Amino acid sequence: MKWRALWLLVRPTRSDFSTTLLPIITFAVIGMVVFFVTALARIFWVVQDSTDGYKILAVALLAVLLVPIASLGSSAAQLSARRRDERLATLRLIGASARWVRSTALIEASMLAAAGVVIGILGYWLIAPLLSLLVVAGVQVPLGAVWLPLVWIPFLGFAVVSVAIISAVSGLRQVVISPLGVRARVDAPRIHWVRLLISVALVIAAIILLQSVSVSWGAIGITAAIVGVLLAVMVAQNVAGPFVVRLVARRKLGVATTAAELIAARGILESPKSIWRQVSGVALTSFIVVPVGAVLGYLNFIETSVGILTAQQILFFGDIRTIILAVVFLSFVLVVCSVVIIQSAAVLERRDLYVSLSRIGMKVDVIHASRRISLMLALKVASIGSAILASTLVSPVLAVVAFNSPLFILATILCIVTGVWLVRLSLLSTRPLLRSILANPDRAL
Amino acid sequence: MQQRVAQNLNETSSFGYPAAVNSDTAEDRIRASGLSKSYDNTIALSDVNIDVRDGESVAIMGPSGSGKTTLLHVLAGIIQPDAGEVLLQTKTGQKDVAKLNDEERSDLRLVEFGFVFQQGLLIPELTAMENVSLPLLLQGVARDEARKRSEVLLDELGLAGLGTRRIGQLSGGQAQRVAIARARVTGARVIFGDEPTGALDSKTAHEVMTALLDSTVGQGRSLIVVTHDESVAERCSRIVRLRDGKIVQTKSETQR
Repeated sequence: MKWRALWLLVRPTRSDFSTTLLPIITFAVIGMVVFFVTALARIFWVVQDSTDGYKILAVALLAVLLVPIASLGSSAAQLSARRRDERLATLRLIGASARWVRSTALIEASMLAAAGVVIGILGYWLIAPLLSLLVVAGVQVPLGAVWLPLVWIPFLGFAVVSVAIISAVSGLRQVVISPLGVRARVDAPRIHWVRLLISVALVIAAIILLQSVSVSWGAIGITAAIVGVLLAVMVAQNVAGPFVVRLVARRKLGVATTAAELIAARGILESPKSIWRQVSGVALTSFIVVPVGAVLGYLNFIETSVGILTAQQILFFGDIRTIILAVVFLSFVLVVCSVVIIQSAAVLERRDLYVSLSRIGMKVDVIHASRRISLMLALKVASIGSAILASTLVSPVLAVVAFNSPLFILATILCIVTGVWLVRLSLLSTRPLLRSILANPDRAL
Repeated sequence: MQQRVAQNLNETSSFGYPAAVNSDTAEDRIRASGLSKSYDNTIALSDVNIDVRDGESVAIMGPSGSGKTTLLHVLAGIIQPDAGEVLLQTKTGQKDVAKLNDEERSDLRLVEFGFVFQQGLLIPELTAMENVSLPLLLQGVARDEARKRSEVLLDELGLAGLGTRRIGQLSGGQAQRVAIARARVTGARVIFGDEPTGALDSKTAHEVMTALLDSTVGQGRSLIVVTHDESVAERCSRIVRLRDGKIVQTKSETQR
């Protein structure tokens, strides 16, 4: 009986774009990127070289893309779990326990994620041949090397679905499920300043670890150290990011003079973690691009001026550039997807409110401006803040590169600016949705 | 836009609220005639004529699908009719709302009209004060001035000291009062209510309706309310009943 009721309530309907299609599309993108990146990492992993440098690169690639993938997965899963408000409330009303309702939401979130992952696998099979265009260690990647072993597919798929389940649990913790409705908690979240201290401690630990690394640690030791540093920075950014964004939004609230600025600042204060989740991928990319750009510039300087590098080392540095470009490109793709999905869902979720605001005379430009201001504020904190932090850490190398290979500095800045503009444009892509909702509101509204 | 706001402020009392007027001698604020509107094959309005004077409250009633919300939306310039005109007496002269483009109708709604919806439809993350200030900020009024004017209105509506609360921290009745304050804050001459008490219990609904009437007709403004609730309609000076997109009955207070 219960399961029959469950099916009646969770089955997708035609109007369920935000509840069903958005999470499925998101997990399709995530699935595709996960399989694609794993295939790329595998290509690097199997390269035979005496220093195991390619293995380190492969692991670093996976570690770096972990955050944007997890963030996007988390957003999508939380969406699918929280979007069922009325249906979950109906289940409670007809006598289902809160626990059972939560289980229902989790089952649904995992089903949607699984459906998305299946589509993602198909997408990977379509785009994987592009990897054969790469030249790694001086050799063109053979077509056969771009396919992951079949046994890996279910394993990776299960990992993505697991992210969905964990995120859905977290999303449901933020809502109160009662027979009268599922509502978000009323009070604005408080973020403790201790977050900042934790982040500083993590960054210091990462610096100490980075400075202690030496060739004597061996390939596994160096890989572990790099992964450890990256993880520490990721955690530090995600712990401190919402706190810093909230501080900046508070300041913005104090000086807001227009309706758009006021709504934007309050919107961030309402959910700093949510807005940070949308841009966290850019934060990590900016943090990585600066030191890597500096190191590449430095190596370019050595390579061109002294000529002490071996042919193998020159090839290796070229491959590092390939990896970095892949990381930057993919992380921006994920951030763009994240922004489009979360913002589209937000427009759909708040359609009644936007329609009512339009009726009191608020123009679509103002509504859009408030969304743009809040996203750009978080984006600036993420990109500029991370770039400044990273520049401080590698300032000696940066100074040498700025003097000898300024093009690398310019390329790094260009990379970050391009990413920021891509995100801004991705927000613009949700404007037609907003316009169409305002132009064709439900007649009952 | 800012000039119009300044003009608006000069024409009215210290906070832009005109004194009450005698609705018998008042002039027509809205004169709508020959209004027709269809959605695909459904006729929502058919040759509807309606006038609304200053200081008058009009309840629009009728079964679901009778066209009452469509009529409210046409009068408020939210949608355009297929035929007919909606002449509005504004501070700068008479305008046909039905002939204005989307941008002009937005401006008009911001300056000339106020709205109170069933669920309030306030921005949840803003405080009560900020929600009330919003139309003024949209008109380009400085934030401090907007805050002062909002504070006076909140006090007037019995919400003194609650201005810093977020909407989720207010009761349903309090949230509707915030919506009333928002509708009034620009000094609009016409307030539209779409089931403004629909989501409230009867006691709170009565209180909110009292606040709405005091804030509108009590100060010489016009109030046009769509409602299913007879007790709400009975408190208005005129009841207009619709069926199948046509006005089938109009009753003034003296006829009841």
